Amino acid sequence: MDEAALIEKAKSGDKFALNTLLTENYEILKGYSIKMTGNPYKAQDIIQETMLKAILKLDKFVPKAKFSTWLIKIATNIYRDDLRKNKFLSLDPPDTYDEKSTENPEDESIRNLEYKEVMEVLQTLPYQKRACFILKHYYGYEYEEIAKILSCPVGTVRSRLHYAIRHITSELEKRRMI
Amino acid sequence: MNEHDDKSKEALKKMDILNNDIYDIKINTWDIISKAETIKNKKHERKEFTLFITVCIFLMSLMAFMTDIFGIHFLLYFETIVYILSPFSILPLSIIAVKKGGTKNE
Repeated sequence: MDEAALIEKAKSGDKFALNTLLTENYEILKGYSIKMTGNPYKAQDIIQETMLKAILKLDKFVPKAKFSTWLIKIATNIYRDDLRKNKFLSLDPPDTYDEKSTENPEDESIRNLEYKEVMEVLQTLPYQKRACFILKHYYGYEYEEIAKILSCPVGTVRSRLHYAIRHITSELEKRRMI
Repeated sequence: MNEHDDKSKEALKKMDILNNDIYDIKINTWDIISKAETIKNKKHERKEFTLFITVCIFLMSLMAFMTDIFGIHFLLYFETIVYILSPFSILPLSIIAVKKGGTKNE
């Protein structure tokens, strides 16, 4: 069933359609939330709150863009509001969250270490520039789409992206990762 | 400039490691759907209750106002008419409402 049909069914009260809609877009939302927050606990909260808000406001969703784009916009706004509320609190990424375990332990710990270091580099970016970078680099959104998600001009998206790439390059060089 | 571009490309390639999440976050979407239903129902109940109270206050104020203008006789006549006519209006309306609710559930 295509997304538009699922959305119509979900709007008319079909819970299975709604569940399918959320499940199909879960991976994108999860990946985005983890990259934005750098913290799996925070990401989990944001994913749950995003899905809850999306269900409550589903009637207002107009399928001009993809459903995943709308979820990402909600998640970004929730994260922004959370940052404003907790301006002076910072959570270090925990070492004890469940990690996927598919490779041999040695390769796995090397990969996990590298992953965490790269994640730290990403988290050094201010959240607006981080969002631009994530949406462009990992999800291939166009500048205009990113501008709509972040409610800013296209020019601002370009300059934020340019800054983000420069900053990331310099951080990776400082840490001798490139 | 070329060196700078090469460094940027290398940096972006390095960032690709984040494409494969290492964290296993599990979300129960049915729980979230159920929570949303509860919130929607509570909102609906609050609206209905507010509407009910508003209508009650309005009707009682209207009755008091009319009684004040036309005297106690108005109240007596009005109540008599309501008691006589209500079985012929409330009962049929309730039956229609129950029937509509039954077909909706089907």
